[in-house]
Amino acid sequence: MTNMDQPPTGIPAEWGELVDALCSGTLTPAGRDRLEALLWENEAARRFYLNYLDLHAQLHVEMRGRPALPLQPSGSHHYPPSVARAPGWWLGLAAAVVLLIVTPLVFWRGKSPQLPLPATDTVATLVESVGAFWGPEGRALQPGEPLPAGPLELMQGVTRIRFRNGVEVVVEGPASLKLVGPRQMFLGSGRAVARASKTSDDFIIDTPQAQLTDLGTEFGVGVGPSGDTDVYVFEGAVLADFKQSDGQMDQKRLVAGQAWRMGSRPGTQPKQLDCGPEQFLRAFPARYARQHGAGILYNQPRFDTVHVVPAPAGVSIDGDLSEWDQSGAFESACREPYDTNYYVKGMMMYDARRLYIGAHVGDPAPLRNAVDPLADPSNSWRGGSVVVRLSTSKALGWPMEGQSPGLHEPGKGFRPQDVSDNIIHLILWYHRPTQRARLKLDYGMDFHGSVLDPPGWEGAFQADADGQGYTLEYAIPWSLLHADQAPPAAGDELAATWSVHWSDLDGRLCLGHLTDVTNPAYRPYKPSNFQRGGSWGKAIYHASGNLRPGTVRGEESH
Amino acid sequence: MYQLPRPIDGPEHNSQSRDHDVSLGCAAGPVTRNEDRDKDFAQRIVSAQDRVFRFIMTQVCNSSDAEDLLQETLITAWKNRDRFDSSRDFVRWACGIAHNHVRNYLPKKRSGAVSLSIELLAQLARAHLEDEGVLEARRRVLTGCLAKLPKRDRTLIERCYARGATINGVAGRAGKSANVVYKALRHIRAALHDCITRTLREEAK
Repeated sequence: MTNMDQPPTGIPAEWGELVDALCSGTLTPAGRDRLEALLWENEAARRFYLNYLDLHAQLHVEMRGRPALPLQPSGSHHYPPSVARAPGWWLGLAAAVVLLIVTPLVFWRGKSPQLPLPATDTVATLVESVGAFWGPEGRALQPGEPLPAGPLELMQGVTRIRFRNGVEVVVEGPASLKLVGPRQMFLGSGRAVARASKTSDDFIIDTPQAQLTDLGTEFGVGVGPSGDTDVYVFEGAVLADFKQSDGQMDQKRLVAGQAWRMGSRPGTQPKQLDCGPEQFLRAFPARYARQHGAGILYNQPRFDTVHVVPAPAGVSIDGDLSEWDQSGAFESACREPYDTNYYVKGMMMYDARRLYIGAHVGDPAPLRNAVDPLADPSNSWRGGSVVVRLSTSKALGWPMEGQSPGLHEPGKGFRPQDVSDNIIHLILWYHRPTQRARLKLDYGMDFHGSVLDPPGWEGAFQADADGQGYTLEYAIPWSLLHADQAPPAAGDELAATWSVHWSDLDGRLCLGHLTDVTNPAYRPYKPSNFQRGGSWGKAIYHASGNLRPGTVRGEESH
Repeated sequence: MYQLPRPIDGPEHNSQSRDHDVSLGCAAGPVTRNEDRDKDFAQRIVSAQDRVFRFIMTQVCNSSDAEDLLQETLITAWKNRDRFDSSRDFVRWACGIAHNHVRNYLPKKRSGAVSLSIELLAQLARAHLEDEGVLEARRRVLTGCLAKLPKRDRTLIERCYARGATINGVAGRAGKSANVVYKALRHIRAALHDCITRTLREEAK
């Protein structure tokens, strides 16, 4: 008797039947419930499931290199394991990955022959894009380009896609989507607005938490990184199937003016939201200028100087700037059509002990930053923040020479002006999970010596009453800026620049940014310029406040 | 208990991770690129892909879906390679990414076929990673058990698991119904499972 002929090892036949049915797609809901109960309650069943599925998978791995041969009577095809493990497509992917290391990135939608995606018919056409970066390499899809079924990743910008059934979808980056067919798409993250005529066939947008069927209407969908799905109906009605953790669907008919959210946490029920349509981009920004490097939330700087005025006595750090001397404030905004919602009024003051930073920021999703600064310290700015970069040393001069060591030619190394402790990057944000102001400091153009919430500073935020922005107020001792021995004084002209980052509703993804107070020699301004100290603007420390009107001068908006 | 990593894992303070930030137009750090690190990362992908594929199979069962998900997983991993801490276990990191892709994939599938709950799959994912040693031992003895199969059964396994094969295709060419082939495969897999278990028990004696 061979080993194979021996009786089974005591595994109930039911377990194998249930798992086989699951894998073959024939498992009934009752069978699923039975299997779920077994796997939750019985460790042996769980172990069997894993062993059995791993066997199933290993057989695929072992046999994957063989072609699907026609049956022959002899059935004598036998391959040694070394041949049987010939590469499948994924080895091709690995080869492509290796190839990509030494060649420019060409890594999207089948551009690389080693990276095959399913070849299918065109299901949609790209109508137009603005500031769109597709895929990790930022390639541009051309207007009129046919789009086959498959995944698309819009890193930034806005695009309009017309499906074959006539439905148009405006997708706002960053977004991860998949074109499923001429009447269906999947939105994994990001925001989209679908518009169908009353005569269009039904159009479906799937998300991780919902399936939304357009019944001849216009509606917006937003999916956060956690999978939470927001839907807002602009016109008509939408049939929403909210997917619950038990596999059941909660179907609702949503009508114009209604907004709903389906959370991804187990047990979550769909809930109605009190939010307006402004969360979604309905109208394509036709007037947007197509600038090199421009994104959807983007600006060209208007100011070369921030005027730092003496702080009046008795400033309290409470998120209210009414006692501030705002005569040195500058106002900057993103490009149209976002200038009315995404803007900043920034200001700085100083005294012998501290530097004061204040700002009012227009932000339709204010104070949402949920990035964990301990787990993800280099990305705390992403969820919405104000970043002020400055020098506290006259020796560094203006324009400041320091730049990121990564920009030097290989082998050039660090220069003192690149790694000076008197170059400081201050990230200021309100952290929603801990409900408090946070401060992160990095030093030098090499971003060394990062500290989070060091002792001695004060910061406060206040949300606007209409929910469309926030005010921040910080006081930071010169000691944290390595200038307590010789703080900036009246007449000093030092390097400084400002950036504002806006996030999605979940406070994790950066939707775009604004930078201002920059050296006019660096125009048009590119997002990566901040790494070059020479691109920073100037901070002029004034001997007295209440600056004369006209002192703060910016170029006309572009 | 081991926690599945997030798809975009929180790196230590690492200036390299900001390369993509710049491409997003959201700039906060310097740009550098380390080719050696990329090569090392690519090697990790090459050596880990079978393990990640098997992990995904335990989540979705279907090999075609698993291949699609593996492709998406490896692309995501590559895109986020600057966020990977090389001192960590790459397979676990990649399986975390895979599990999140599975989470996105299942609700879509659910409309057409029955799936296990996401909560249970998360539990199974953890168990799979913790049981890797046992599973690897089982894989080691699989070849011997395959050799012990009757020739007819071994041939059926080869044909049904070959690249591009479908049960319907195999059944059609053999003049049998798909149901008959499914039943035969079920019997053979059960036999292989039992053979592996017995072999390991005997080795342990």
